[in-house]
Amino acid sequence: MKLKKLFTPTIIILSVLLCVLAYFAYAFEFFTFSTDASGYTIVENNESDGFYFTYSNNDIILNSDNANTRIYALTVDGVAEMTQANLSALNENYLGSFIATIPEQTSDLNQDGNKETLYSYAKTDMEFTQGYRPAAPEFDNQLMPFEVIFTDRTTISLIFNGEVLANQTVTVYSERSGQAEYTSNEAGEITDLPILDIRSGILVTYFENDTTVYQMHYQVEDNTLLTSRYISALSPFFLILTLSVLGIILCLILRRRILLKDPIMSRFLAGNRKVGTNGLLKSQNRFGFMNIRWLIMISSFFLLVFGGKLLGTWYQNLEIPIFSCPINQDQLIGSSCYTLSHLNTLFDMTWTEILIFVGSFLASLIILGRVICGFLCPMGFIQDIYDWIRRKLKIQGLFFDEKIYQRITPIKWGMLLIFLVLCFVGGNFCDICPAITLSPAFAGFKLSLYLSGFMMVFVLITGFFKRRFFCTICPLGYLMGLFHKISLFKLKKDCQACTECGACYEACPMGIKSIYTERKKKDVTSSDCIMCGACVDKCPENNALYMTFCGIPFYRASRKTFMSGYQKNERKLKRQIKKRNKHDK
Amino acid sequence: MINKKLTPSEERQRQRFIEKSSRVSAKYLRRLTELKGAPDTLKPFIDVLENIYVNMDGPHFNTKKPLIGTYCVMVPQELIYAAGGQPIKLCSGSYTAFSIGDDLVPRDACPLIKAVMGYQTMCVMPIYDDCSMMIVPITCDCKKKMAGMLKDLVNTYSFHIPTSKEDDTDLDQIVNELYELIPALESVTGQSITHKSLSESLDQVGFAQYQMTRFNEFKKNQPALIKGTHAMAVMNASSYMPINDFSEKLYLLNQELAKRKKSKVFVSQKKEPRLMVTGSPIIFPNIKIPLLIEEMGGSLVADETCMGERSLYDPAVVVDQSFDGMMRALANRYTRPCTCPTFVNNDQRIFRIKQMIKDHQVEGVIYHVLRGCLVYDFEYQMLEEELGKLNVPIIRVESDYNEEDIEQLRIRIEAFIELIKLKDLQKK
Ligand code: SF4
Ligand code: SF4
Ligand code: SF4
Repeated sequence: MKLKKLFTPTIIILSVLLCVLAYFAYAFEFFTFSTDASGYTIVENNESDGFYFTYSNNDIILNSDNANTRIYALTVDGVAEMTQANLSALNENYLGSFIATIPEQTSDLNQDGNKETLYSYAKTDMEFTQGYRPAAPEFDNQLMPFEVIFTDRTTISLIFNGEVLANQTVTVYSERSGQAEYTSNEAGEITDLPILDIRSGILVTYFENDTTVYQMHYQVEDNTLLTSRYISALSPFFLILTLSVLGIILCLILRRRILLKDPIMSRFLAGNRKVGTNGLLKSQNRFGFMNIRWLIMISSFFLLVFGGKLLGTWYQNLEIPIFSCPINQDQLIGSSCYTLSHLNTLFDMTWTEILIFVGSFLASLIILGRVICGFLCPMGFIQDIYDWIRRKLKIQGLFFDEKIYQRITPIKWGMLLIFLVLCFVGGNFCDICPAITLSPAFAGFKLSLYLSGFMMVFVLITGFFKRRFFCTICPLGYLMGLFHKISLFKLKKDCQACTECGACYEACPMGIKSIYTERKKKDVTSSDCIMCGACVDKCPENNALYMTFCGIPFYRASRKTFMSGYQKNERKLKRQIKKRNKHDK
Repeated sequence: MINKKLTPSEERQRQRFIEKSSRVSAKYLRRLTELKGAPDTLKPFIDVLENIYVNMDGPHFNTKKPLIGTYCVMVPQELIYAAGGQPIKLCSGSYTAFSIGDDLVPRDACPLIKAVMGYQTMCVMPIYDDCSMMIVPITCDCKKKMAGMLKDLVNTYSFHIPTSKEDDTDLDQIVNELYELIPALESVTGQSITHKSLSESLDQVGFAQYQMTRFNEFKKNQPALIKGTHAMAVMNASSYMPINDFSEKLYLLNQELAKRKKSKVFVSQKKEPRLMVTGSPIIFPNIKIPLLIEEMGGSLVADETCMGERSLYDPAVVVDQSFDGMMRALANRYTRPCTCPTFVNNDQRIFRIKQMIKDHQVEGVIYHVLRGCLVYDFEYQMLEEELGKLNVPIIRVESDYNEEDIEQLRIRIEAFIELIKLKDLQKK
């Protein structure tokens, strides 16, 4: 009794604590990658043609056919020339940007018959310099008047003599798509160059006038898959996995100890009724909608994480509200979670950008709604995997009743508050967001984690015991749920056919009770519903529950489907009877 | 069995009882088989009833499993099977036992209780006497007091049912009740319930329900493929059969019905009014009402009674295959969809009946009330109102466990059937 009274205050304290923690999220280091070049070496390769950098594991290779090549590095003390002595031992003083120069040459690049003076440079940026950061590293313009800087995944900036190169046309040759002309904007930025082209290495040529040409080969360290550095990029994720497993085991032990004191339950702990003596209840498993949902979730995960690499990044202009971290620059589709959690960036956006953001947000709400949660979101996917493992191990889960759901809402509000407001008070939601640990790591981005890492461990442990726990407090899902009325996907009910068996309520990961108690309305979609279809799958009454898109039903509950697993048993019985009849004759 | 030595007069009384009881049962069994259109595969079910009620044998099957007697529909048979027991439903419909029980319980108690107490004190029915334990769900007042009386005679377990089921805590309560039932069962059977045995029994009962689903589909056919009285006999027999046996026999019956459907062999004509019964349980040999309906030219196409379709209708939906998950599934299955009027709020029964009217194309509802069965009587009013809106005629018939009211029942049912026929004519 006493415990119950403490519940609500604890939750409120927790959610306040969460807000405070979120503000200081950056102070909780979970896993940090080195943000310097130590461990890397620069190797000179004089054999090959051309003049460019490449990468091979921890080697930065400078390919050059010119004997007078010089290499410079950006260090904490400014630009330094690399000598034989420091080439092989980069240390933390190096900031990860390198250039190489060769003496000026002459060549007729534009083929107008006159030779021009050609200044060539090669530049590379290591991975940790990329991505969202306030300012990209910039070199000395004495050394190299023309510079290309990879600002973020949609932008490269051009600098000439220390000034931005506005409204100029340059030729860009990329390994991936060949030659094309691009014009920079007022701010000296080129924004329409596909990121995959940039990754493949680009050669930017700028004609200052008819007699002077600048050329820069620019290579960013690519996050190649399936190399040792890919594994190292995944290491924080593995750490999270390990911690979550440890946490789960700890919880199991604790629960056992508590339950052993319970007069009824202790009996069931004594025997090995938990893991192990597995009975098989196959007949209620059948191939159906839920398997299709798994397939969609798996493909969505891979598409989101690696899709950009395969299909190009054009789709990233679309931003759907999903917890699939857009810091992974390879995502197929952008996620509006970044903009939503950094609403202050709206002030810096152009009207078209805002329009696209709002437009694609609304479009996703209308067309998909929380189907995104049930079918697409990687966070939901990983929670479902944990839940699936628990079911396979036949470990008892937690059933939340309506009261608990009600009581944990303060946490949900806390999360929403953090999500929307943190950016205005100087925090960064990304430092607490658990989704950041997933997509970027799988795509091979080395990302240091702060409170997010701990959050993810928490999400996984709770997700193991209570299906989709995080989704019940997810701010993005909550936001989407507010608009469920305008979504085209709907969950409907034939209130007369329903027997109030409560199977749907038991099956619902979001604990929506109204689907089973509702006796009047046809539309039982609620703001918490993630459209996962579990309720329809488990409903044994014909047509009692069904899902519609634009009013067209596409998945209905049916006794026949529900019981179809027993056809196996029937065939077995048929064989038995036949055999017996033969025997009798 | 009988412990005390009987005096000669008692012995004579006992003999008379046996004779009379089996004579009545045999008579109804005969009427049941004489009713036209019985499928061949119905025989095993009839045999079961004959064995139990006419021959007064032990359960028809060969089992060394301890018998566990249950009442009502809320005791999970899956648990009993999982513990290695054989559940058997003891709610009784015997007129002879009723007349004995009449002296044991108050006059206004329902006849079902009287019949049970009658059998229990006479010690003539092996299915009662061989029970190692009886599980009585505490549902209506009569059952509650019955549990108290049985306690002195046999090993009785009171299974507490919450009076309402709206709150989640009510379900938790049932789950706890089930957990507490386990040790009691295990101590009787000497076997323990394991994850394996429970999932197996869930599977077996689930399969029986699958066959029931097929059977119900056939019952929806118009014109009818099987007489409703026969269907009710099947359900009655299921109370005394091991579940696998029942599934197998029902499977064969289904096969025959499938054949009938294919070759268009029907047991009713198109113009026969399609009726359903609902209300107090109809238990063999008290099957006078379904018999009367079908003998008077009605077609009984559905029943919403707890010894009929309801007992095996709702499947246990296992969402989570942990042991606890299965226990929750059982708790859910045996209470939430249960349309027993003993719950405070039972609107769902009206929805269920309306849905059955739709599914089975029912034209009239016969509401059966056993004298003294208050809870069912309470629900008549509301149902009448609701069905009035649908323009489906309904009639309330009250009966007792004797044959004195047959004539009166006959007249009322006949009039009701005529009324529906007339309505049909008017429509045309
Ligand atoms: S509610 Fe769950 S599935 Fe939906 S966005 Fe949030 S984490 Fe993803
Ligand atoms: S109501 Fe149904 S579809 Fe919605 S979350 Fe619950 S189980 Fe999934
Ligand atoms: S599972 Fe179907 S029949 Fe059962 S309560 Fe839910 S909607 Fe009603």
